[in-house]
Amino acid sequence: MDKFDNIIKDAVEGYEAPYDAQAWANVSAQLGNKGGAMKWIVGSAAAVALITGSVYLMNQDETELNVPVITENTTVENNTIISDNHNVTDNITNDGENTDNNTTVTDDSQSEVPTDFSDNSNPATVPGNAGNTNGNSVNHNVTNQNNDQTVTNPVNTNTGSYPEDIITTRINSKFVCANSEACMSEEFIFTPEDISQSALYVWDFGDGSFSSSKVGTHTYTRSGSFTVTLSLKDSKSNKTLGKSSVEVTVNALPDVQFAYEKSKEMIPTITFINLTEDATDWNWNIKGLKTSTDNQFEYTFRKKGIYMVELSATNEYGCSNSTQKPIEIKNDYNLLAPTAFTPNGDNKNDNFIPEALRLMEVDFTMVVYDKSGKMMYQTNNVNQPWDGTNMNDNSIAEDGAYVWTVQFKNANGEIEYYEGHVIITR
Amino acid sequence: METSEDLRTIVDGCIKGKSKYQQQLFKLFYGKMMAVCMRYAKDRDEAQDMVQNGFIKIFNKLDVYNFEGSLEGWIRRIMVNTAIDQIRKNKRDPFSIEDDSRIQNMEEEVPFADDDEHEIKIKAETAIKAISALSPAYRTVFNLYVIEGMSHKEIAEYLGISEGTSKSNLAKAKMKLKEELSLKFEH
Repeated sequence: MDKFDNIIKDAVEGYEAPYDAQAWANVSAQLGNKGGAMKWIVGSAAAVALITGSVYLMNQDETELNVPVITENTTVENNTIISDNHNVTDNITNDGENTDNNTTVTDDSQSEVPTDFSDNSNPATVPGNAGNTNGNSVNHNVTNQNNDQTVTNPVNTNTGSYPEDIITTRINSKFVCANSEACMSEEFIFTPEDISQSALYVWDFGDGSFSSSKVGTHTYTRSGSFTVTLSLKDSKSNKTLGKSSVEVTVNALPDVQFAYEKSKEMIPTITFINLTEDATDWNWNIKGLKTSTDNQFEYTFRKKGIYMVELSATNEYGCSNSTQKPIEIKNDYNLLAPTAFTPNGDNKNDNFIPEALRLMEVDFTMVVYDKSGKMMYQTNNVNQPWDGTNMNDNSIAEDGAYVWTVQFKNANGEIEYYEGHVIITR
Repeated sequence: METSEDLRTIVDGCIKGKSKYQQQLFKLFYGKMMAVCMRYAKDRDEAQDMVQNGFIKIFNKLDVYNFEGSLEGWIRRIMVNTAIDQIRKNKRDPFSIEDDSRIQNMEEEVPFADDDEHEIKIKAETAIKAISALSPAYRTVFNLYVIEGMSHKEIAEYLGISEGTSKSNLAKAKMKLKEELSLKFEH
């Protein structure tokens, strides 16, 4: 490790990227979706089992005829779903599409053994409908076909007596949110289980805000618990086709505050005091310079400039907030090192050592280099300052600029590192 | 920072799959881990991908963490592994030498003597940006050697390259970084 390595390491090490609620939403969705995907896989496996089951049954009665049935079923699947969502009452177009796709099958099955077909497929379709998940679209499809063909199965009698009920339960208005609990500044993302429907999606976030986008996103501006409702409405009649609600909790953010004071030493130290009351954890950050999780912390700024000091705090709900204050440092305190000295033997400014080292009582190492990087002098003792000679051969260093570096361990055990220029003029 | 008992509660909660604790763990380490990934990635998007994939791995593997050694260290190791896997995935043969100029082990311990290098405090963002701008081969070796403190031998084994390649990539990475960073100082 050389000095360059250390500089980069120092610069990079304490750095923390700001919190990103979206990143959590993504991770959380992936963690949660794993369960969802499993369900889907199980669901579709069940659907496959149902199809193969019915095919097997059909195969008992008929032979070659049924092979195209499978392919028809899968292709029809999409069409039926779309027509389903357009409007379940819109049976005319539904019929049209279905018969289009099924020309061969419906013709054959109707002409040959229509009753057998429905009898065999019914036991398979009924439990599928009861399950009522997305994966079962194939089964919906089958019942649809049955609707058109026979009036003997239980689903059909239902359609006859309670058409409204069927419509509302057919439309899936359920939605998921990655978290049912979040902090005030964080965005909730509500994702409908089925966003493919052509109905109007109306979100009521329970705090007086509404949205009409398919995926509801909302950031609450006050804490509390709210009921989020998604209504799916028919775009023509404005009739509510389905409605679901979820309760969410919005947690307050901590009220982050801090104060600071400056010591009266030659190199003033700034002490920062945490005034945040409702927090359990906090983190101080002076960008690129220091971070701390202590309640109170101090820092000695060596260079003039305006520094942004940030305090972020987290409360018992895990909600974070932060505040920033600029601190202005008016002077450079580079160990109060003189920028020039005159080693000419007149007992005035004959030696060089950063003044602050005389006061600090630390074990330091000072090294002086010439412009080409050659070491000229090294000392660990304030009483042995540099007198302007080249330590290697005791020759007199030429007039000109030299680089000095000082390194020591401070009271907190951290290594502090300084460097600067000093000019010899005799 | 959380006490070790709090951490244990959070870890246990995460293992049980409780979203509240998962979010707490995420919040605790996101900032630091994003900073790690930003050094391994070419841009913010790639870093975001790495950090998110890393956390998903962490949540899935948390049950094997046995509280020996620091949690942060454990998380960081998974994060670095994830980042490097992702670089591997994105590019064929990503860690080999890019061009044939052979710079062997450059002279180390060169003191700062040049005038433009007396400004020694570099902003984290500037440094990260410069590291990101390196090619994947240089970037990875630089991060592993300088920041993670691995030896050339370890890096060679880890990345499946020769020690010579590791040394040469580090030297070239540092040369490019110095160029890039001293350019910044002039402005």
